[in-house]
Amino acid sequence: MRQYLIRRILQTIPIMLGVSVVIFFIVHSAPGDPYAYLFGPRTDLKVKEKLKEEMGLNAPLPVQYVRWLGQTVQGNLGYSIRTGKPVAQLLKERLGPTLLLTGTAFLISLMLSIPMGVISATKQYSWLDYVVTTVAFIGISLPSFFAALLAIYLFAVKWQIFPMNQITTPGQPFSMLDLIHHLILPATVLGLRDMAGLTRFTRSSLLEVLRQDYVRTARAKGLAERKVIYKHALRNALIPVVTLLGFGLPNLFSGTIVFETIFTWSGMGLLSFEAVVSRDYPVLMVVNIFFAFMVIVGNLIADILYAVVDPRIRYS
Amino acid sequence: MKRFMTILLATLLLVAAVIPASAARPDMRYPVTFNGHPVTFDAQPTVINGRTFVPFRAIFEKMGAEIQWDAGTQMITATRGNTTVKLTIGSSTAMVNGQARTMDAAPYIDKEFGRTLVPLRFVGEAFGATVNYDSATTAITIVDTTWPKRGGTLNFALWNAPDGQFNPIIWDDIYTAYVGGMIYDGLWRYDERYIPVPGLAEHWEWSENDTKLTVYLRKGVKFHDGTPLTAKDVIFTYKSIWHPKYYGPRNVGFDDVLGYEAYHTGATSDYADSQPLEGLYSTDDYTVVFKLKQPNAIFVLSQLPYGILDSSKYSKVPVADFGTAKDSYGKMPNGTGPFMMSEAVDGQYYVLKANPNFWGGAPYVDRVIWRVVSSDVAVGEMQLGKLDYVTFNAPDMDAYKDMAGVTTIEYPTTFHQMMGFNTRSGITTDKRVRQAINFAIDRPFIIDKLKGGHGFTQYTPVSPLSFGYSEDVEHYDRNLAKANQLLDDAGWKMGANGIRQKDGKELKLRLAYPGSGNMVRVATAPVVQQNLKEIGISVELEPYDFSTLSQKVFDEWDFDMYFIGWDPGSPDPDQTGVWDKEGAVAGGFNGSGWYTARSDELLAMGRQTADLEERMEIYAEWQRIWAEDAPGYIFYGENELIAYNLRLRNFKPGVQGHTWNVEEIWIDE
Repeated sequence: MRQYLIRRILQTIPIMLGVSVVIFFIVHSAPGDPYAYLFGPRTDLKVKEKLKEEMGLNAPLPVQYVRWLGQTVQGNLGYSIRTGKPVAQLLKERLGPTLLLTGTAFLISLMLSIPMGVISATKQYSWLDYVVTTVAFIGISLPSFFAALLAIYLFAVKWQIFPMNQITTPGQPFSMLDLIHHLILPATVLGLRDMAGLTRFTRSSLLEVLRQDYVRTARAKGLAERKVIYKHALRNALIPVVTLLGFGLPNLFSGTIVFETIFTWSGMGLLSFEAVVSRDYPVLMVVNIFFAFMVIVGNLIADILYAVVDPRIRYS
Repeated sequence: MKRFMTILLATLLLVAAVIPASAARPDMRYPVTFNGHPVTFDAQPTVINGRTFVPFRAIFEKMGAEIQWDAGTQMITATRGNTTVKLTIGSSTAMVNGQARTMDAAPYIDKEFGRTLVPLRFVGEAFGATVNYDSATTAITIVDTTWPKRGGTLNFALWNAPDGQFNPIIWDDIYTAYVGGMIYDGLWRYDERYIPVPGLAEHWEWSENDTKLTVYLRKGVKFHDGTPLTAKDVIFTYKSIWHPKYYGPRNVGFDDVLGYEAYHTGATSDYADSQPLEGLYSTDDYTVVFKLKQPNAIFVLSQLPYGILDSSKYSKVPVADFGTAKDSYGKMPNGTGPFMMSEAVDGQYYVLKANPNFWGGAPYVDRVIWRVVSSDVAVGEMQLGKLDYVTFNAPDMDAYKDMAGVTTIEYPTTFHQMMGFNTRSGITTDKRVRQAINFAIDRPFIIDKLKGGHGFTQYTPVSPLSFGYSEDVEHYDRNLAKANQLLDDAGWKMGANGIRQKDGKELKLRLAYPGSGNMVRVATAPVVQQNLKEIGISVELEPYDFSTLSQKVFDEWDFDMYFIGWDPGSPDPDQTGVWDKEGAVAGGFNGSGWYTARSDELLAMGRQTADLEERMEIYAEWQRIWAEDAPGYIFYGENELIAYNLRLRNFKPGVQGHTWNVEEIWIDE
C-alpha cells in the first residue's frame, strides 16, 4: 500500500507537467490579450507594446512557458494582470468562501441523500419511494440558475427569511450569526441540487446489494431487517458512493460560477470566470492547474477510500 | 516696538511675494453656496445701488423649490413643501403663502441671459434660510439647517466586481470608476447641463494664442487625511501619467505639451516628482501652467479630467507599481472627493463615508454602500428597497413600471451602436456597395421593434448631444430601389439564386459581431442579414466573444462588416483616434480603416480652434464626408433606463453620470 501510494504521488509530477503544458498553450492561443481589457479605447499602442515586451509576452510561447514554470516551481505564482494582486493572495481570499459554501452544501446533500436513498430502496415502489424519486428527478432537471433565482424569490423577496446575497451584511462588524444567516440559502439550494444525484445513486446501489446472496443469507438466518440493511447491505452499497465522493472533491474547490454570481459569493468560481473573461493569464494558469491538481488528488483519495471500504481490494 | 516692526516687515515681504502671482488670478466675484454646495449660473449676481441681486431660478432650485413662470402676468411661482412664493417682475411686493412681503427692491430680468434676479435678502426670507454676505470676498453663503434632511445611507449596485484598485490614473473598468469617482476629484466636473464647470480648479484660461493654459486651483482644498492640495499634486499627477514606467490607459493625447516627449522617453527615476517641465509648471502654490506646441480645443475636456493624486504619498511609490498590490493607496485611497473609503471587501462591497470637508460642501447623506449584486436579482432588490437605483434593460420595464415607491427615468446618452465596413480590402472597398447596404437597412424596425423605442436616430458618429452634431448629411432612409441601382452600377448583377454576382463571384459578406452581452445587438445581426438579402447580398453571420471580435476587427482586419457599441464619453465632436489615420494602424480603433486627406485635415482644424461656430462648421463638413463615404452605419443612439427609489431627492442621473451630484442627493423618509 505504501509503495502504491508513493508511486501514485510520484506519478502526479509528470501528469501535472503535462497538464500545465496543455493549459498554458490553450490559454495563450485563445484570441485577445489581457491588455485589451486593461486599456481603454484610446490607449497608445506604443505603451501596449512596451508593456507586453516588459511582461515577456512577446517571447515565443515555449520560452514563456519555461519562464513561467521556473517561477511557479520556486513558489512565485505571479500577479493578476487585472487586479494587480498576487495570485497566491487571490487564491487565499477566494478559497475560504468557496469551501464554506460547497462544504456546507456537501454536508447537507450527504445528510439528506443517504437516508433518502435508503428509504427509497428499502421501500421500493411505495409512495415514499415515488416522492423521493420525484424530488430527486426535479432536483436533477432543474437548472441551478433557475433554482437559485426561485429560492431567492421565495425566501428572500416574498417571505424575507434570508438575505438575498452577499457573504455578510455590508457595513456591519463581522458576526458568525450574520454569516450563517447569509450561508443557509445558497448552501441549501446547492446541497439540494447535489443531493438529487446522490440519492438516486444510493438507491440503485442499495437495491443491487439487497438482491445479493449474502443479504438473502442474512435474512434467512433470522437477522432483524434493520441489522440486515444497515450492517450488511448499506456498507457494501456505499462503496461506489464513496468513490463518487472522491471524484466530487475538485468541485468543492472549484465552486460554482452560477451560484457565486447570483448570490454574490465571491469564491473560486467567480475568480476563474473573471480571469477567463479578462484573459488574466497568471490567474487562469494557476487556477486551472490547481483544479487539475484537485482532480488528481480526488482520484487518488477515491482509490484509497476504495481499498479502505472494500477489503477485497488490495493495491500492490 | 521693535517686535512690531519685525511683524510689519514680514507682512510687507509676504505681500510683496504674493502680489505678482495673485495679480494674475481673476477675481471670483460673488460665489454663492447653499449649505456649502456651490451654485452655478449664467447670469452673474450684481450690485445695484448698494443692493445685491442674485439669479433667482438657480438659487431657488438649489434650495429645492420648483419654479413656474407665467409669461402673461410676468409672475414667478416657487414651491417647496408647504411654502409657496410668488414674485412679479418689477414689483417689490412678494407673496409668501398668500401674505404680502415687501422686498427692498423689485426683481428684474437680466437682458443678456433672460434670467430673473432678486434682492439677496429676500432669498433668505422666502424659505427661512440664513444668508451671509462677506463684503471682503463677496462670497454669498446661504445655510438652511432644517432643509434638506441630513443623514442615511445610499445603497448602490455594481453588476460586476470592480478591479479593486482605486487609483484614478490607472483604473479602467466602469465599476471601479463608479466607486472611485466619488473618492477622487478632477480639475473640473460636469454640471447639470453637461458642461464642464470648476472642480479642483476654480478657473482656467487660455493665453498666448491659445497655447498657454493657466489653471487656478481652489484654495483650502484638503485630501481626506488633511494634506492640503496644491499645484505640486497636479504636476505630480500628470507627470506620473507621462512617466516612462507608467502602465495605464491615460497616457494618450498629450503630444502637444511642450517637453512631454523628452520626459516621457527620458526620465530615469522610478518615481514621479513635481519638478517643473517646459510645458507644465506652477507659478505659485495654486497656479498651474500647461504650455502647448499648438492650440488644442479639446485639451481641458479630454486631457484634464483625471483625479488628482496626493503627491506626498504617491511620490514614495514607484510609478510602475501604481494600481498594483504594492500601491496601498489604491486599496485605501486618499482623495479630495465627497466620499472617503471606509471599508473595502473586494468582490463583495465598498462602504464610503461622507467627507465633511469636501470643497463642494459636505454630502447630505452619511454613507454610500456600493454592493456587488447580480443583475438577475435587481428587481427583487429594488422591490425590497435594498437598492436605491439600478440601470435596467427594456424587458424589465414592466417590473418597474408598477412597483410601489419606485419610478423610472430615461435619457439619451452619447453611446451608439454601429456597423463598420472594411474599407481596406474586399467587396466593401467599393463605396457604392456600402451605400447600397446603408439604403437597405430598416432602421425604424431596429429602433422600434428590437430596441423597443428606447433608442434614438443618429446619422453620424458625432453624438446628437454634442454641439457639433449635424443632420445635414445623407440619412440613408430605407430605399431599396436606390440600393439596387447602386449595386447594378457597381457591376453586381442579380443571379438566378437571388444573390448578385460579378465576374463569377457571388456577393457574399461576412458580418462579425459580439455574440453575447447586448442582446439587442445580437438580434440586430439577423435583421441586417434579412435586409441585405432583399437586395441580393448574402450575409454570413459570425458571432464572436468580444476578445476575438476585437482581434479580428482592430488587429487583423479580417471582416467585411462588424458591429460595435461606441461611446465617445464626452460632449465634444472630435473623432481623433477613431475615424482618422492615427486610428487606422493595427490595433487602432479605426477598424474600418477609413479616412481621407480632407477628413483628417478637418479633424485637425477642429482641434485647433476654440471658436464654437467655426468648429460647428468644421464638424458639419466632416460629417457630410463621413456619411457620403459611408464607412459605417449608425443604427441608433442608446437611451439609459434607470429605476430609482422615490426616497431619493436631488437624484439627477444623466449623460454626465448617475451620481455626478452625489453630495446633493438626500433621503426623504
